[in-house]
Amino acid sequence: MIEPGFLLDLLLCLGLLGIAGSAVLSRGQFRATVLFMVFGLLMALTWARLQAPDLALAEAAIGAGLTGALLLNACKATYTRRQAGEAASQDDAPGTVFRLVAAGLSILLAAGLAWLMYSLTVADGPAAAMARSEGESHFLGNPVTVVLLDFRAYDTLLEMAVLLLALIGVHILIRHYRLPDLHPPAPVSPPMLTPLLTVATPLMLMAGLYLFWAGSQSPGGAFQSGALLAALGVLYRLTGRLVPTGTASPGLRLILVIGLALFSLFACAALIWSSAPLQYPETAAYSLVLLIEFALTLSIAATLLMLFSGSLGLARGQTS
Amino acid sequence: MGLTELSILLPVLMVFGPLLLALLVFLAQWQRSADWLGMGLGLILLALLTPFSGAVLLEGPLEMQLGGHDRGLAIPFYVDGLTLAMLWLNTLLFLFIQVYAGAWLQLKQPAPAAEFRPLFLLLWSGLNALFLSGDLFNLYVTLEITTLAAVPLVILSHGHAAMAAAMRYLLFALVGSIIFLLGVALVYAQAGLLSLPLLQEQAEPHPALTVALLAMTAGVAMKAALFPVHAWLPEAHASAPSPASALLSALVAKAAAYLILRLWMGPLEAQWTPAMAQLMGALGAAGIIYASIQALRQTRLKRVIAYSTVAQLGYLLLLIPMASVLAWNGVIYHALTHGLAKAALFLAAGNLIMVLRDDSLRNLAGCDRVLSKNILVIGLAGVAIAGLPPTGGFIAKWWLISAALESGQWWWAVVIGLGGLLAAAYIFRILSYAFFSPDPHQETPIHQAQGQLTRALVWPPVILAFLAIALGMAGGLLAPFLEIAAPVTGAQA
Amino acid sequence: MTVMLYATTAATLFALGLYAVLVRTGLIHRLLAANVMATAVFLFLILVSAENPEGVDAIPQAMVLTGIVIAVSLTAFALALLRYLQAADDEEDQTGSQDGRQNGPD
Repeated sequence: MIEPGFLLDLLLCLGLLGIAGSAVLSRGQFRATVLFMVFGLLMALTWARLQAPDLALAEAAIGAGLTGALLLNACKATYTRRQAGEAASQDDAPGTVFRLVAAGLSILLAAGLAWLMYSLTVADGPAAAMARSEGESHFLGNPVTVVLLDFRAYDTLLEMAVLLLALIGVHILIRHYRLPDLHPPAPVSPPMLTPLLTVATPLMLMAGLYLFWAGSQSPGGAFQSGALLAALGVLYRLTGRLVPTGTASPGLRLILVIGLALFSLFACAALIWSSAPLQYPETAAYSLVLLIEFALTLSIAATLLMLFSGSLGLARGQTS
Repeated sequence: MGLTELSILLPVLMVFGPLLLALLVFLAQWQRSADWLGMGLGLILLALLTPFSGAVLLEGPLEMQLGGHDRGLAIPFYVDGLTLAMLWLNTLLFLFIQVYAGAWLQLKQPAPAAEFRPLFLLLWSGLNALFLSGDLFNLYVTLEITTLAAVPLVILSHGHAAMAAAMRYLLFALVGSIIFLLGVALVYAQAGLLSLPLLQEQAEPHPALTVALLAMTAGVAMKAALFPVHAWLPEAHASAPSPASALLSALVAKAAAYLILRLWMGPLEAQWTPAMAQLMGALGAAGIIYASIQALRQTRLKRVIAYSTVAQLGYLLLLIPMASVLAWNGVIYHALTHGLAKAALFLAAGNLIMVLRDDSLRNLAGCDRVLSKNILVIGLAGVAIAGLPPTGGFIAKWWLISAALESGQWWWAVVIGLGGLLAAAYIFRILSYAFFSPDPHQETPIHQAQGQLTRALVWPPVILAFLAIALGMAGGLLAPFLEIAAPVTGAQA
Repeated sequence: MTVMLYATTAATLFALGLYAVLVRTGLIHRLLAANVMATAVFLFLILVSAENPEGVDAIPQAMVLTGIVIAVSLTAFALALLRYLQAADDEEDQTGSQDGRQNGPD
C-alpha cells in the first residue's frame, strides 16, 4: 500500500528533479528562467510538506517571486541583444570527455551524498535541545523567529549587511558603467490593470503587515513581509507608477539602512544593561523586537525593490 | 575600565564600529570627514588592541556568548593567538590603507567615493567578524560579507576587464560558499553543534565529519584561490583599483585561507588522517612552486604581485602536515609578514601606475631615480616576502623549516627554500627593470607627474614595508601571544 | 521512507547543479545551477529534523531563511553584473567590427 502522502512526496520530488534538470540543462535562457521559477514554486510546496511554513512563505515570495523577476529582467536584456545578431556561440563549450567525466563524478557524488544525508541523525543534537527548552518559555511564540531574532540574531544582523552590500554593488554598476538604450516599451497598461492594482495594493499591504505582525507568534516575519511589500513595489515599478531616478534621496537611503542601523545600535546598547551584546533587556523586550523587526521589514522591502529597479532612486510616476 | 570590560568591549567595537560608520557614511554621503572618522576609529582600535592582547595572554583564550545565551546555543566570539594576530593585521592594514585611499579618491576622476567608502568600512567590519567568529554558520555569513564587499571593489576600476574578472570571481565565490555550506550542514546533522569551541571538545571521529571538513575546505579554497582553484585571482586582483587590490590580496583571500587552518587545527582535528594532511601540504607546495614560476613570466607589475599572493597563501597549508607549535607560529608569522608586505607592494604599484599610467614592467625603466620611495618599497617588501634576514619573512621561514626538520618531513623544508628563491627571483626581476633598463623618461614629463603623489600616498606603503621588516626583530616578543591556546603540541619556539 | 526520498532528491539536485556549473558556459545557466545547489543544501538542512519525534528543529529553519536572503542578494548582484558585462561585450564587438584591427591588443 502506498499512502497518499507518500505519493504526493514522490510526485513532488520527481517534479523537482525534472524541472531543475530541464532548467539548468535547457538551451534557451528564457526557458531556463521560467522553469526555474516553477522550481521555486515546487520548493515552496516542499517546504510546506516538510512542516516549514516560514520557509514556504519566504521561498514563494523571494525564491520564486523576486529572483524570478530579476531573472526575467536579465533575460529580456539578453534577448534583445541576441536578436541583433549571432546565435549563441559554442566555441568554448567543454568537450565530450570533460562532460562524461563530470557526469560520472556527479553521479558518484549524488549516490554518496544521498547515503550520507539519509544516514545522519534525526534526534535532537545539543543545540537543538537547548533551543527547544529555552524556546518554550520565550516571549516570542514562533520558534523560528526566536532563533532569528534572539538565539542567532547576530546572523540575521550580518545578513542585512550582505543585502546592503549587494545594493552598493549594483549602485557601482549604475553609476560607473553604461547599459545600451534598449528602447524599452512604454509601461504596459492593460484595461483591467488599474482596478486590479487598486484592489491588490491594500490587500498586499494588509498581507505584508499581517506577516510582520504575526511573525512573532506564528509563521511569517520581517523577511516574508518585506519580500511581499517589495513585490508590490515591483508591480508599481513595472506599470510606471514608480519611475527610476538618477539619485537616491536621503529618505530612501534612510529606509535602506534603518533596519541594520537600529539592530546594530541595539546590539551595542545591550552592553548597558547586560554583559553581552545583543542581549534583550528584562523589560520591554517585546516592544524592542517589534521595533527592530519593523525597521528590518522596511529595509528589506526597500533593498529588494531597489535591486530589482536597477536605478539609484524611484519617484512617483504618471498614473492614468 | 578593567580588563574584563575591555575584553567585552573591544570585539564589539571591532565589528560594530566600522559597521555603524559605514551606515552613517552611506546615509550622509560623507567624503573626507568619513576618512578622518575611519582613521580615528582605526587608531582607537589599535590603542585598545594592546591591553586586550595582554588580557588574553593573561587570562587565556576569550570566549564570549552573544545574546547572553548558553554555550552551544549562542554564537560565540572566540579569540586565541591566531585570532589576535589576524585582528592586529586587519587593524593595521585598514588604518594605513584608509590613509592611502582617502588621498587616492581625491585624485581619481570620476571618484567612486560614494561606493568605495561604505564598501571599505563594511569589509573592515566583515573581516573582523570573520576572525572573531566561533560558529560555523556565522562564518558562512561573514564569508559572504567579505565576498560581496570584495567583488564590487574589483569593478571600481571602470573597465571591461575588471567586470569580466569580477564575474569570474563571483562565480567561484558563489559555488565555493555553497560547498562550504554543505559542509556546515553535514556538521550540524552529525554533531548537532555549530560552535567551534564546543566541537573541539566534543566531536568524535565520524566519516560524515570528514566529508564535512573536505567540503568546507574545498569551498573555502575556491575563495582563497588555493592551487588548483586559483584561476580567478590574478586577473581580479590585478584589475582592481590598487587600494582594493591591497585589501583583497593581503586580507580577503587570506581570511578564507585562515578558515582552513581554523577548521583543521582544533574543531575538526579528529577527522583527518596523516595521508590527508600530506595531501593538503602537497597542494600548498604545488601552489608555491607553480604560482611563483607564473609570477616570473608576467609582463605586468600587478600580475606579478597577484601571482605572488597565490604562491604565498600556499605556505599556510604547510601547517597541516607539520602540526607543531613551531609550525603554528611560523605560519601565523608568515601570514602577518605577507599581509603587511603585500599591501605595501600593491599600494606602491598603485603609485607607480598613477604616474606611469600603465603597469607593464618595461615602463619601470628609470623609475629608481624619480619614484625612488616606491621602488624602495618594492625592494623592502619583496625582501620580506622572499624571507631574507632580518625580515619577518625570515623568522617565519626559519620556524617553518625547523618545524619540518624536527618532524622529519625534510621535503617541506626543500619547498620552503625553493619558494624563497623563486620569490627573490621575481622581486629582483621587477627591480632589474627599474634599475638596469635604459631610461626612456628623460625626455618625458614623468618628473612633473610624480608631483601629484602626496605624502598620504607615498608614506603608507613605506611604513607597511618597514613594519614587515621590523617583524623580524620581534619574533621572540610575539611568540607567546601567537601560542595562546594553540591547538597543537610539540616544541616551543 | 519519506526522508530517504527527499535525501536522494537533495543529493541529486546538488550533483545536478554542480554538473551544470561545470559544463554549462552560459552565465545565467551557471547562476541557476548554483541556486539549485544552494536549494539542495537548504533541503538537506531541513531534513535533519524531519523525522524527529520531538518535532521540527527551528535552528536549521532559521539558517535556511538566512541562506535564502543571502542567495537572493548574491544572485541579484550577479545578474546586474551580467547585464552590464554583456552590454560592454556588445560595445566591444561593435567598435571592433567598425575599427577593424587598428586598435590591436593593449
